Amino acid sequence: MKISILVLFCILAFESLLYSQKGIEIQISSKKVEAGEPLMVTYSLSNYNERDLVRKGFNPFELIGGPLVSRSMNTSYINGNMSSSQTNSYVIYLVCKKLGKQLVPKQTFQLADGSLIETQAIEIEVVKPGILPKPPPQQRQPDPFDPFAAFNDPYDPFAGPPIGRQPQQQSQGGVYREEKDINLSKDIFARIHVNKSKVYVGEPVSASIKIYTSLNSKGFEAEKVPNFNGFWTQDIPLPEKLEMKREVINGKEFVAVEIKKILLFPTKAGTLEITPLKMKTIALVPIMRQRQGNNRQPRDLMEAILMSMGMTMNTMGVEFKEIPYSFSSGTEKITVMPLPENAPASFTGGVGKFSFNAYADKKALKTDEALNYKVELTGSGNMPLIEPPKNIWDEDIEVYDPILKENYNVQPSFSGTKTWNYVAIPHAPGSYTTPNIEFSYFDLVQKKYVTLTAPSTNLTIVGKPTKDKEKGKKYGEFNYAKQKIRESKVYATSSNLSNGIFYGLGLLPLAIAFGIGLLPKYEKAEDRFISGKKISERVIQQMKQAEVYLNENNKEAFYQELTRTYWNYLSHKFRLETSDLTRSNIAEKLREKDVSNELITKMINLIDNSEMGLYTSYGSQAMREIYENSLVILNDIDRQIV
Amino acid sequence: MQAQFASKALKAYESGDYANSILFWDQELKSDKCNKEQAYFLLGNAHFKNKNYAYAIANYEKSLRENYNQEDVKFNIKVVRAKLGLDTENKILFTNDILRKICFFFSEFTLKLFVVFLSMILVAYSIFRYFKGDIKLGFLRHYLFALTFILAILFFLQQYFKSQSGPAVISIESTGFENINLKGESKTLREGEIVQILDEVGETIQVETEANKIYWIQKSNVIYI
Repeated sequence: MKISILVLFCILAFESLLYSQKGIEIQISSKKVEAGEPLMVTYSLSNYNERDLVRKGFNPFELIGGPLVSRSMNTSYINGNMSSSQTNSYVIYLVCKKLGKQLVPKQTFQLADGSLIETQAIEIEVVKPGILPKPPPQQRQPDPFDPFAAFNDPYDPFAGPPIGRQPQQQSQGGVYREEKDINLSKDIFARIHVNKSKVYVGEPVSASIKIYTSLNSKGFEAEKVPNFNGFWTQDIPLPEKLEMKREVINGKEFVAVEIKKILLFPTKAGTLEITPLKMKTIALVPIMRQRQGNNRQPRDLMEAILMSMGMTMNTMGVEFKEIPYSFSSGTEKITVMPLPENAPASFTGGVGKFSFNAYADKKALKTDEALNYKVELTGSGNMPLIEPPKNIWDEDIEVYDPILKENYNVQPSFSGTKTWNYVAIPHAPGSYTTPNIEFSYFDLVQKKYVTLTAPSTNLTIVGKPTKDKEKGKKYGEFNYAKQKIRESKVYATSSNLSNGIFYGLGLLPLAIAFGIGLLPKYEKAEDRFISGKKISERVIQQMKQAEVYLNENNKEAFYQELTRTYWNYLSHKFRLETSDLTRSNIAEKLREKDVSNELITKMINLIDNSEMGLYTSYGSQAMREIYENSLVILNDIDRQIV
Repeated sequence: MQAQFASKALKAYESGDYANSILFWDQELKSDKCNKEQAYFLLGNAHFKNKNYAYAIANYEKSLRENYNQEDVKFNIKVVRAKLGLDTENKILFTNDILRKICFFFSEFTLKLFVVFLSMILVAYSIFRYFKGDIKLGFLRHYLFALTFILAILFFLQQYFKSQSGPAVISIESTGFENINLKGESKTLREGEIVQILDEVGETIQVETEANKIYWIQKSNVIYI
């Protein structure tokens, strides 16, 4: 079984190897290059299993460095399938002195099986020195890292500078001379942009959070999300794939990514703060390579080439350091002005522009029949925060808390419909009207309150009036919001046993008691012997048994019982094991206990007789005599023993 | 001496000085002999009167954690939630937890006393029985053992329930983000909502809301229960 799994696994692995894609990718540092300036060409071969680059010459270019080979293996298991890919990169540095459009010739690689493969030729424009502004070297590097991997966007165009991108006007400051100079605050940062900084309560503010970076980095991760306290927030969805835009800030080019767009409705007046977003990343920072002693002799040819290039060319001296960096967007402040004080009574918090309507679904109905009454608000503004307009109904119509329906669009502006559906139950017949509902809101354009009214409808109710007790049963629900909290004035410090005492006096004894219960029954050595009354009780019991045998004329059992009785009696009396008792020490012990010699002789005789009776043929006459003797003698001894 | 703070707090509460009442209760809660279940309840009341609704809920929940069988506290939570416009049904922490109800039937003190008392009897009887043999009603010992064990287990369950932490109350309307990198949806979490804390990264915590959605919010926006 195991072997077959192994075989299957191998087949799968082999298969996946077979199916892994082969490919050659060519990258160049720039499409335009100055004469005499180095051009970096990278050939990346995936899954070719090649041996080497066949050097055929690079005319009209001149090889000044390389090929530097780097290999990368990538093995991954996805759904139990193993896929593995190997990519070998050959980096060469070329220089051309001829101007105009030039071709980097085709390159040939020899594969492991001896066959050859060819790459394509690349067209390069060589211009006069000094024409092109010098691009920061880090952009010449092919970059395998995706700074926005954290945003689930593995094929980001932003990750690596596109081939042949026109060098932008950029300061030379991209490369740091020394590690201690590194200050990334101008390379990577985040900003929260708000479109307004002074608003009324309820007036929407759109905020967008952007990350700017001029370096490549290994993903971003938030450490602290921003806080929009005092705002009701409404998310504005962004496209699944985040958009990367190039923005130039103070002459420096950044890639800007908008990671969040959000609509804020201030709920209170004052200066509200949006606390910063904190993020961390591992930035790939270009640093000049430390040169240890320029006068040192190069160890080998390669080093000699590198050293000579290091002196003439900046690129070769640049190293990428992974530097963890935390940054945060600044705190954004928004001044929220309170709404004017002369708010009409029907104002329920609406700010924006709305239209308003209210209607009943029936005009005639019976008592106890439900009437649906809809209050509908349409428009744009702080819809989620608007309370239902007040509506006062006739006493005979019972109205329940409304059911709320909301339907909003976020873009292009926040708008939608909010509907409160009231259920009203008339309890008495007659003519009624639905209430005149007023709705007021603060118009942001006119900067004043606007009041809208919905006309009332006439209702005709027929049927019998409902009894009072039936009211409120159908839809009635206990409304906690109208209740007062239950208060208490009682406070008593609690008495408590400390845990130590509890464990010591409670759990420990419990465990002990349980343990004792598990122990085998304890038997003291002396306890084998009974004492006092119990001996005579047992003797009497045994003698009774003997009497039973006597009556049955069971000679053997009778004598056995008798003998046992004597020995038992003496053993318990002297607290000695029966095995330790002999005829001689019985006499001795009895003497110690101040038993008369006569009685001792009788006792010994008795023992002798009964033993004799056991092993010899003795008449039943003797049995009765011995039995009676025993009773008397044992009784006497018991009396004489001190 | 400890009760001093409590009486001051009660006095302040009665005279309508809720802010001071809160301060005194906080001090009382720091003392050893504090009756937490009552103190949290009364502190919750003071917070409610001071219109710190989220704090009121948090303290009521803390009181419930000390003793689950407090109908007044549960009632108050519903009132506060209703005032904040939140659901009142089945949204109290540990709603309808029968085990909790049983566990908190006796107070911790009573449980401890019972266990100590019964254990003493049992250990005395066990020793007696070991040396002197059984007595007539010796079989009752098994029931006593079972009872004591159950009480001890209830005690430990109580301790476990009291030590449980994880939930928190949103203290201020705040924005929760589905993803810590702000990708995905974001939603305003309402004051007074109870959330379960799932993860913590720096000053940001991941919470599960009552609607069983998971968001990242700032730690300072919640009150730990």
